[in-house]
Amino acid sequence: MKRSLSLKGLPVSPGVAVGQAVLWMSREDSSPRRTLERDEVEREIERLRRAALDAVAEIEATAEEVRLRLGPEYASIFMAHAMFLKDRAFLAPIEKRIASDRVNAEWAVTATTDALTARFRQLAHEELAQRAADIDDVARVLKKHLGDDAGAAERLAQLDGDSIVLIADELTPSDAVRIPRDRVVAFATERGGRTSHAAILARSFGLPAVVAVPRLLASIRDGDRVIVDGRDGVVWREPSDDVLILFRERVETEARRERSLKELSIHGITRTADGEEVAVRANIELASEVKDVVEYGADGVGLFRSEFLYLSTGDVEFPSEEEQAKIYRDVLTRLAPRPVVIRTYDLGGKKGARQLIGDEANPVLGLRGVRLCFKRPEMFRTQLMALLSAAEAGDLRILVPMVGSVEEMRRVRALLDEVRDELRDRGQTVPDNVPLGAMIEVPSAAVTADLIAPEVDFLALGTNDLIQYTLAVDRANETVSELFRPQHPAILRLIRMVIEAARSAGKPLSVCGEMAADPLLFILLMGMGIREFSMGPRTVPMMKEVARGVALADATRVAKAALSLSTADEVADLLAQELDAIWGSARRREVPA
Amino acid sequence: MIEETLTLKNRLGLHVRAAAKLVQTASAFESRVTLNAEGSEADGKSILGLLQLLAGKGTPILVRVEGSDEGAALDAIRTLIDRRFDEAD
Repeated sequence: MKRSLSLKGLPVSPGVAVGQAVLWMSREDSSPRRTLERDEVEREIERLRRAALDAVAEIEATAEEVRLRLGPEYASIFMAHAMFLKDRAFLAPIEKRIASDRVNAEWAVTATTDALTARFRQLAHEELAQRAADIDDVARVLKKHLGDDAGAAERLAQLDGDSIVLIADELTPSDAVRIPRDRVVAFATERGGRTSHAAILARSFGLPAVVAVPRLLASIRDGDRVIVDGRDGVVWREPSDDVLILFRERVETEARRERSLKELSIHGITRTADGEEVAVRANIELASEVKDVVEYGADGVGLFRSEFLYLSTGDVEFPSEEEQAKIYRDVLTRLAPRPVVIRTYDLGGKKGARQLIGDEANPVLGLRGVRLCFKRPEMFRTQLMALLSAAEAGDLRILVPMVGSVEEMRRVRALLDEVRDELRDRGQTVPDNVPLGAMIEVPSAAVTADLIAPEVDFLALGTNDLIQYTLAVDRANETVSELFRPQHPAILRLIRMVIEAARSAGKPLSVCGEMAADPLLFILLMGMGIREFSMGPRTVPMMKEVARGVALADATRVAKAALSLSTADEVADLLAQELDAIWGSARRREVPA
Repeated sequence: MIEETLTLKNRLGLHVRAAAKLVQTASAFESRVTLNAEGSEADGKSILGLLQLLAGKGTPILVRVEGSDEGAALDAIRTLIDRRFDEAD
């Protein structure tokens, strides 16, 4: 038996799964050369043309499905691929090679496209290499329709069992949408990143996934037993029985907990044990996640990260006003009457858009969030137009990221008014009062929350960035990441200031950072006065359960004690100690006297 | 026959999606469309041909249009390039 081995990669989609490995190479070389008889040539060319027509039909069908399921921004690359297969300049050299070399069509496709892509790859330019990858993708689809299908698709179809772990060098858009979701339980790839197509699709399908795993393909063979841990970013090959038992238990526990929590969460309003109402909403990145919002019983969307409309195109192209409006309208309609908070593009910093902004010595302190929006007025204007056009479809609220001052909010407000007038001139109906909110995630905004609150309709605390900027700690930097502490008194004091500012201005305030998804911190925030939370859809049922199990009176007492402490450790200890007592007391209260 | 030199302003130049849009635009017209960039020539209705021009940002492109609807075709292509193929920048 093979030695047990664990490989570390980037966790991009949570959950854990055990299965049998199937290797999928995006470049499968399985078309042996065959020499044709002279009278076979014409038939072979005919076979190539028919395969190209079939492939076009398949690609256009995929494009349509992708457009409907994921939105138009994903579909454009497929349309480009179909164009290749209709292009005589692409097909003619292949036909010529069949005739002149008297070789089978599969071989002619491989030889011709390899020569083409070699030319692009020689130029050693990232963008040109992408063109080569697109041509490879087209060649693969074409060969599949020639019946040259000894590749991964066939192996997937032939494999026994229903727990497949897909192991790939990388997943192209066309691979990713073809993953047979009824049989594949997880995947891992050697390349890719958090914003790659495959990662986004994995999250939206709920498949555990780990990407950017070095030496993945060299380490795993077809049929190996593999565990993919999408929470910690680990891929295990041939795990020992002990490890396997441990993971099997986790798989079962997670499945059981998810089932029972899902049932719990569906019913109506969430109230604390002593009757205070709490809203638990979902953070989403894609329109396709709306079904999760509904399924996991979230009270609407607290944060729609609209920049993924752009990032999912591969950092290339902003969806047009019409395309965006269609997506926003769709999300709003499907969730009405639940509120949907759409955050305008939060690009820059570490989030993609390097192509858009250029190199910055210090991007986290650079052109990001609303600052970039002001630098790219057309991009921002188009988004505001799309948002207001869609506003009538449901309960839309617009949230502005990385606000640092009152002036910035005034500028956005003025722009929004301008856009509203323009839409009305066009004859569209636009509601008067679409709420406009500021994300409080920069210390300057937190400290001046009392000045910002009267100028906006609501506030949202983005705790991830607020912690990073206040404590001057990059959590991704391993040498300092342990200093990233949400319990730090500086953070608690800032949050308290923001809560007080929102309260005295009479404006709603929500928390949509990861703090909201930690049960102990959730209770602390509730005790400090927060009543609206937003988190990943799958965490919603658990937090609703937490809220139901706690009496607000207890949470308030704990919060008061926490704010009097001097260190993050003391706060963490207090929360850990109090939890048992709080839960016990809430449970006792549930029993009627 | 009419011709005009246009400059690519979008960041990625004639990449796959931009080329697809250009093909789509050119194919809507009956006229023959030819692009010439730094000595290489390509059919404006061929996506592979356009990619092989390897035309990046700032490349001047001589667009030649010949046919019954040449005026409208050139207008449409100019608009697309000026609008940076509706890309981010």
